[in-house]
This record gives sequence, structure tokens and C-alpha cells, in this order.
Amino acid sequence: MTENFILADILASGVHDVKNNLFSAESQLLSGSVDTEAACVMIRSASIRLSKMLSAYHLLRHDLQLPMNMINVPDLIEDAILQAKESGAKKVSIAINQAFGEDWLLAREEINDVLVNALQNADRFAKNQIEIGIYLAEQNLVLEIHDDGPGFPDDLKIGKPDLKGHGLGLFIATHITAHHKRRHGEQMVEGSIQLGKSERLGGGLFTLRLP
Amino acid sequence: MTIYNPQTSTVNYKDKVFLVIDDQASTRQSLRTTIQNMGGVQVIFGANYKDAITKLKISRRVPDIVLCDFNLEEGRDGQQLFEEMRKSKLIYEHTIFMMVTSERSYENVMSVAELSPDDYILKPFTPDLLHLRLDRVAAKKIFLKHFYIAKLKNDLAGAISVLDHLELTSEGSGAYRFLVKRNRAETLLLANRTADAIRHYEAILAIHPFPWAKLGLARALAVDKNLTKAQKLIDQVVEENPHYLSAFDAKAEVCQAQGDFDTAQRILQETVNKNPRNWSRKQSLAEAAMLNNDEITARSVMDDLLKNSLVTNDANVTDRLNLARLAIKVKNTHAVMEALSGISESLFESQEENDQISILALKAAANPSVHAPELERHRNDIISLQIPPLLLGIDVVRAGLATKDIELATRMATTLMKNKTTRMVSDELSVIFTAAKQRAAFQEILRLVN
Repeated sequence: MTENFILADILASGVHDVKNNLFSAESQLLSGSVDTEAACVMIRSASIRLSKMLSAYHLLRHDLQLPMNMINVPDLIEDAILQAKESGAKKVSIAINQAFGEDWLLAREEINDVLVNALQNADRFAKNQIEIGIYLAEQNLVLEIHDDGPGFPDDLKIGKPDLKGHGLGLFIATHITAHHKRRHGEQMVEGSIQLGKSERLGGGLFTLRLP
Repeated sequence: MTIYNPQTSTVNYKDKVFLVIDDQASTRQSLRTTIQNMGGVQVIFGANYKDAITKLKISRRVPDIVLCDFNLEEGRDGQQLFEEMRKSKLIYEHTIFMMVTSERSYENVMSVAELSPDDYILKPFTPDLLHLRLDRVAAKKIFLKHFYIAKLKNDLAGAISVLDHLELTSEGSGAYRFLVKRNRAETLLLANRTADAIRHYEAILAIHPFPWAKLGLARALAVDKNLTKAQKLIDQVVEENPHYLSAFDAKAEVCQAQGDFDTAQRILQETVNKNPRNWSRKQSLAEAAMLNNDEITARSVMDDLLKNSLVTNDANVTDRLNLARLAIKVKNTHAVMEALSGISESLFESQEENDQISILALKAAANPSVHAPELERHRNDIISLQIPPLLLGIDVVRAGLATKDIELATRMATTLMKNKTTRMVSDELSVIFTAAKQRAAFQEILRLVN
């Protein structure tokens, strides 16, 4: 029952966003000065949103087995940055600290979504800069996104989203990340997401760990 | 790491020939515009599977970059087309192949495919994202260009020395470090330098426990006849990464090498059920079933393969060979010749040596009076094969017996028995020798091997 509510919420919030995107695109096209570029951005973002809704639906409805492939990590980050920028991120400077440059076994599109969301979020709150860290720790791949904004609110919890759909993105991201499992010795380790305070830039710190 | 800016692209797309395959005219046009914006001018279009193959055949030049939609008409998909193009050598290993798909489930296809395209891109995408992805793949292909050329000429020693050289460059010791190491280990294995391949994989694993390196090591150990260790390693990969389906293929290979055709067939069947679209795995299943004497399964898998893959006149050679093998087993020589007659001279010439030998051997076995001289011309090549694949070995044994070259049959059978001393193999050979009224020759082999 609860799972069904969550699913309905995800779909409702997605439909809402797509409806807004399409409405904006229409008004762009109808306005006297035709800005096709802007309309395209809106339509594309509606399509991306629909595609995300579909994968969220599959994930929750069928407890989908994620497709794992060996993916180059810096390439994954580069893709996510480009996509975050294309979906209208501001021009803050992004620096990358790369201590790991190899392939990792992961669900590419799903992790890409998680990263694009996290980057868009960091971009929304950052004042001037974002810093991305890529390194290995205890056989886990760690991806960090630091920003120099006000940081995450203290009462923000990663859990089930509320009925208005708040925390939905994080909820799905946690779900996707936890699907990445790997045996380390005797233990089965799951992927995780953590929100904290960035020591480096003083703002928020988003940490993604993949076993 | 610098952040991507399409304005700084270093790839010259003006010189490149593009092949764009999509059944929607509007998509083809929009991709053409994107290509033009990147500086590309030479674009060929394919409207569907068959059209793409035809365009490739009549094109004066093998395209440099293929952009292919995953969903093609008539129940065929881009993955099949890609595998067929590569296996029929219509495109090279250094040809860039980018799958364009609107389905997220393509990741599933990719995770279980034996041959993967260079990359795939999910619709909808922006021109900049496609540009970034192509730049990235092109940079890799340019980096490895001389390696691919040497490999294409079958100059494996040359290919390895190219990699030795590349490893000393800044990219080869930096961003492409593992690309170089991986290709070198794979090429060493291909060149039968098994001990070196094992050493290379172990060195890679000492740096990081990549699942692909574990699988590579397991495959090398299996060639080195260290089957117990190989199996242990693969089981470990399967357990650690239950989603990494390539490990199941390797597991089946090792079972097969151990002569456990039954388990090999079962694993392949389960994996085929998970992804019924994978063509080469189905071929492996047909072969495993054949070795397992399960002719009903072999036949039904082959029928399915032939029904779904015979789009072009040059049917896939592996399928034709397997069909011929099934036919010769039941002594239907007419069917053997029918299966092989579709392999044109030019197609024959483009095959790997092992397949060429099998084609000649099966023809000689089915029609010795006509085809014995051709086989005779390749006799020295056949005898010099160090570790002949099992199916090829059996083809040669049949050919030797049919053409009364008992020495050739005996030599090959002895090599097979020395390499794989399993009940299955010796039973199979026993049946073949007995049918050719050469029981005594087989007894002699048994005496020699034991």
C-alpha cells in the first residue's frame, strides 16, 4: 500500500513537471518572437523527465535488476556535467579532483540521473563554485560533490518522500544506489548516499559510494 | 581533468564517412544536420537492416562512423546488425559504432552482449552530447589505430609491439593505462602466448580487482589447462558480481573445456533465456548442444538462428558450419553441401584460418572425390595447429577418414585426446572411427594416449 502511494506520488509529481514543461514550450512557440531554442530545451526536459518517471516506475514496481556495465568514471562525470549544464544550470565554476580514472561496474543511466540531479541541486545553491571528487576508499568508489552554498538544511532526512513529493529525487537515488551490491570478503556491501557539510567549500557535500 | 567544450574538439569529421541507420526519415535528417554542424560532409543513409547491409557493400569505402538506431523493422535490432557487420567484416574493429536508442533497456542488452558497440546514446540527446561521445570514442580509436591495423593484418606480434610502445606515452601510462594493458593481455592470449597473458592479467589484478581481468585470467588459465583454478576464479566473479553476465559465458566455456558439455549447455540455455536476442551466445548454445549429443536442441536453436539471421546472401559462416556439422553427423551429405554452398569465394577468403579449415574439411568429408585435393593443399597448416578447437578437430578427423588420409585423422584425434581427455570426446571419436571401419586405428590412439 505504502509503496503504491510512493509510486503514485512519483508519477503525479512527474506528470506535473512535464505538463509545466510542455506549457512553457507552447508559450515560447506562440510568443511573437519565436525562440525555438528555448522551446526545444523545454520539450527535451519534458522527455527526459518522462524517461526518468518510467525508470522510477520500473524500479519500484518490479524491483528491477539494474543493468551493470563497466563504465569509465571520469567519462560518466563529464557526461553528467554537460547534461546538468544543458538543462539550464547557472555558470558556476566546476573543478574536478580526480584520484581514480578507471572503469567501474555500475548502472550507467541510473547513476547518471543521480549525478545530474545532485549537480543541478548543487548548482542551485552554490554561490561561485562546485568541486567534484573522484577517489577510492576501502574498495568503494566515492564520488563527492562540494558546493559553497548555504549547505543542506539540518532537518533534511533521506527517507520516504512526503505526500507533496518532497525528497522524491533523493529517495529514488538512494534506492538506485542501494541496488549496487558487491561482496567484500564475508560482507555484502551496498551503495549509499550521504548528505553533509563540505569542509573544503563550506557548503553542502553530497557523497555517493558504490561498492 | 578539463571540462568538455565542443568548440575545442580535435577530431576532424570532414574526412570521415558516416553511415546513419534509422527507419525514420526525420531522424536521419536531424542526425545529418548534427553531423554537418560537427563538420562532417560525407553521410550515407540506411533505412533498415537490409538497406544498411546493401549500402555497406556498395560503398567504396568502409564508413568511419556508424550511427545506428537500436529498433529496426521486422523484429531485428541494431545489436544484431552490429554483430553481423563485425562478423562479416563489413566494418572494422576501428570503425566507430554508436548505438542510438530510445530504450533504457538497451543497457540490459549491452551488459549481456559478447560484442559491445563503442558506445550508445539515449534519446533524446543534444548535438553537444553526441559530439562529446563521438570525440571520446574517436580519441580512443586514434590512440589505438596502429594496433588495430596490425591486428587486421593478423600481425599479432606487431600489434603487441605497438602496445609496448603506446604504454610509454603519457596517455598510455595515464588515462588509457588499462585500455593498453587489457588489449595487450587479450592479444597475448590470442597469439597463444598463454603464460605471458596470465602474467599480464595477474599484474593488472595486483593493481585493481577488475571483474574483466579476473575473467581474462580465468580464460587464460583454462587455455593453460589449469581448469580447476579457472573455474574457482569464475565462480568467484559470478558470486561477487551476480549482474555481470559475461561471467556466465566464461563459466560455460570452462565447463566445455573440461568436457562437461551438459553443464555448459545448461548455463548457456539459462543465459539465452535471460536475453534471447544475443546471436553469438545462441551459436555457442547450438555448439554446446551438438557436443552434448542433444541434436534436438542444437537443431531447434539453429533453425531459430537461420530464420532470424539470414537477411543477407552471405549467411553467417558460423551458422552454416554448424548446420553442416549437424548434417554430416546424420550422413546427409547433400545437406552438408547445401549449407556450405552459400559461402562464396570472397567470403571464404575473409574468414579466420580455423573456419577456412573447417569449411574445407566438411566439404571433403561430404564429397571426398571432389574436395580431397583442396584439403590436401592445407594439410601442413592443419598439422601445425597447436591447440585445435574441438569442433574443428572433429571436422578434420571426419575429413581425414573420408579421404583415406588415415594419418591425418589419427594425428588430429591424438591431439584432441591429449588436449581434452574426457569421456565425451573419446566416445565421439570412437563412433566416428568405427563408422569409417577404422576401429584398429582408434585402439592404437587410445594405447598411445594412455
